[in-house]
Amino acid sequence: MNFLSGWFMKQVKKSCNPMPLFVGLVAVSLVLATNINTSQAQSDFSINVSARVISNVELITLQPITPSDADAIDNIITIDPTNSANAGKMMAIGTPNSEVQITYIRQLVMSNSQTGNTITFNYSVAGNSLDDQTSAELLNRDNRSLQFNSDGRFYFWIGGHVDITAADPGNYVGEFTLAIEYL
Amino acid sequence: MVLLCWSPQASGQEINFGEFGNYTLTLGELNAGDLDFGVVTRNGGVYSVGINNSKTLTITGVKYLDVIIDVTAQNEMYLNGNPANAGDAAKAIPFTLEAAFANNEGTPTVAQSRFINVTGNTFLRQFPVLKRQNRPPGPPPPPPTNAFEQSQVEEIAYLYLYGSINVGNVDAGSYSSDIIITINYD
Repeated sequence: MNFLSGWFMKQVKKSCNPMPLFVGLVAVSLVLATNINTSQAQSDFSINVSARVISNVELITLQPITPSDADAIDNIITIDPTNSANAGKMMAIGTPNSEVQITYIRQLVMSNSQTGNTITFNYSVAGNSLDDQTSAELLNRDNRSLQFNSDGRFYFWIGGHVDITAADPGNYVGEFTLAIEYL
Repeated sequence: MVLLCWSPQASGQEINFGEFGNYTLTLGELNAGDLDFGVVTRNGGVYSVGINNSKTLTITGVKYLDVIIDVTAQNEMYLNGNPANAGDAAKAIPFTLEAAFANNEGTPTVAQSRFINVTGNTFLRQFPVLKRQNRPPGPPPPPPTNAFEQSQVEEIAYLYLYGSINVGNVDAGSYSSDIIITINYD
């Protein structure tokens, strides 16, 4: 009805007949009166604009190395970083698509805090720009030309082997060190 | 009344059809998530998100009606999204909004989009849900009746939001702010 009023007004204006003009003004009144009850379509929306700022490279440990008895064969515990669920996992966050060099220690001597007995853990590391252990590649001690993915992430799985033939029972704790540099 | 009647030239009139019906207008997301600049580095300078990676909103409405888009974005993103960090050079990142729309027939495309002039991260822009075709205008559309089905006269226009940030010597962390969009029929 409102629309008809508006259209009619337009027709009236082209005429100079006073009577249609009067009718037209009535129509205007109807429009104004009924507009009050007409809810005009409106839609509101809010979205976020966001970014994550890093200072240089962040290295986050997602999972520690967790050797189990099942990993020991002839007193040698072996954790394959490319397929063992007990491998440690780390994620590096950096500049998307940038190339980096990665270095890490190959051996770590760990001490038994009670007896002083030591064992040597030999690390092996696999890396992948995808969060996929099975397609990760074994990394050498000094790897160049690795690349963060488009989200600025690179994933590591840390395994290794250790001979526990001469090890005393007890806890052995050590820290793995991995360094990342932009090229 | 007399002036109108005897005026030698009738002035133009505008009838805002959108004001006179129970038309619906829906704003949706073509792609989920934020307008996200991803991981950026402190002192990294300018990072841009282009139109091809923009946050794209869908505007679903009556194709022969005009919509008015009102968009306002903050001039900065704040550390942890906290507006109290506004103006703090170590906790706010300057943000420049850019925008475009596409209302071509069929599925709107970036190639057919039209740039929107954005000043001070805000703009008000009017355009038809469906771009006017290159032919003489037809008769006015029938008014809505009880039998009116909007779905028969609906089209979808796209609104692209993108832009750039300038990352200086700011604290590491998550930065965000809001973009407010309001749409109405003309």
